[in-house]
Amino acid sequence: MSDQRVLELYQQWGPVVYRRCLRLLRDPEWAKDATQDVFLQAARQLEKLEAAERVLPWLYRISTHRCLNLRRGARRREAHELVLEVREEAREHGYDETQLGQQVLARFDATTQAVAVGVLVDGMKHEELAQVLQISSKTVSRKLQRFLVQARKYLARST
Amino acid sequence: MRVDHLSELALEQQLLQSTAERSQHLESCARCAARLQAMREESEQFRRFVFPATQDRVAAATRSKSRFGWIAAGLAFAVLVTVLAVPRGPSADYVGVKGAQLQLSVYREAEGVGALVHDGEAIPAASQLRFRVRTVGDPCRIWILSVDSGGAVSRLFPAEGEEGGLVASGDALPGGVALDGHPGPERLFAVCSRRPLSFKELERAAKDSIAQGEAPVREARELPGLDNALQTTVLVEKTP
Repeated sequence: MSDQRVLELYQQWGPVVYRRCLRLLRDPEWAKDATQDVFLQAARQLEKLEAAERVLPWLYRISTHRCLNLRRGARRREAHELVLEVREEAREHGYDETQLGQQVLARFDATTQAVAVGVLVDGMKHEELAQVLQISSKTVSRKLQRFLVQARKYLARST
Repeated sequence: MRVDHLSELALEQQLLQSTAERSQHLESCARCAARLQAMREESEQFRRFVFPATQDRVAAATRSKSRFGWIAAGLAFAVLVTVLAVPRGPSADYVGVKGAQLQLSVYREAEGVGALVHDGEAIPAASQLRFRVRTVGDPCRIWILSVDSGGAVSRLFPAEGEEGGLVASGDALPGGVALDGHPGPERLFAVCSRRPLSFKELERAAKDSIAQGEAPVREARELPGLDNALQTTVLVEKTP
């Protein structure tokens, strides 16, 4: 792939990755580095997935996993820096907190973290999230329920 | 009354391709409209700051991968390291594998590939690291931790759990860590224990044996009092 083509793809899709990383990492510098990292991982595949409707969910998925992984590794950042704002709609799922802290997320496996963030922070429907994460809607529901039950227990213990 | 807002992904889709249904929702939903506007501003941030600052590295890294292929990139990660450690001072009742060893390979993510970090090497203070361990003998539970000149003991692997990670020899360890960005020496220890060993024990051993300051970190070689555990260490010098 020529440099020109790589940079065209970077200009086209970089903003999607950057926004995702910024939302999950909440730090422009960190998001900048992560964006570059995700794009390098994605560059080759991007050319093959020409249709935008296929690229977007895929980029969304790999960006989410990469950034959640970075959050897990960034053990020294203060917990308050890694707090995510929870949508109002999350209350419908029985999550009454307004924030989702890394100390809660870190207690779950990678897919459960992606499910919790997808539903509670990004406001995604189960079907939408299932498509992005390439798991069944049933698995989304199951993992979300598990998250909600255990997160509530953990939060109750820690208050 | 319940209001369905557009998800982050739906807003991304709207930025890519506007639909009548989403546009209609946006006209009547101030929250979604505000978020969409914020996303447009983040696109602008990317164009103005992120793209110019990273385009050369992206192009160079992609070029390099094209030339040598993705396999070569994988091999770069797989190149073996490093530091050998013979278990020190086993207790009298120790029954172990003759010549048992533990190897820790440390890789720094650089331009999309893993660059091997040598003992004592200077690396950027906010580097992202990944690890590979090799052991001889039965599987054991691996811990990787670090100590810096401020006396902070950090848990690097596994991120969760209380007994160390049970991994097969030669595996790249899942996940990675980002260093804290503060210049100075940081000593990484890999500890491989046949018995469950808690992080608290390791933390205590590190705090008790390594004083604060740069010299103690550079001079430390082992964590005392870990019975039959194998261990090895790698020093990195974090630079601004």
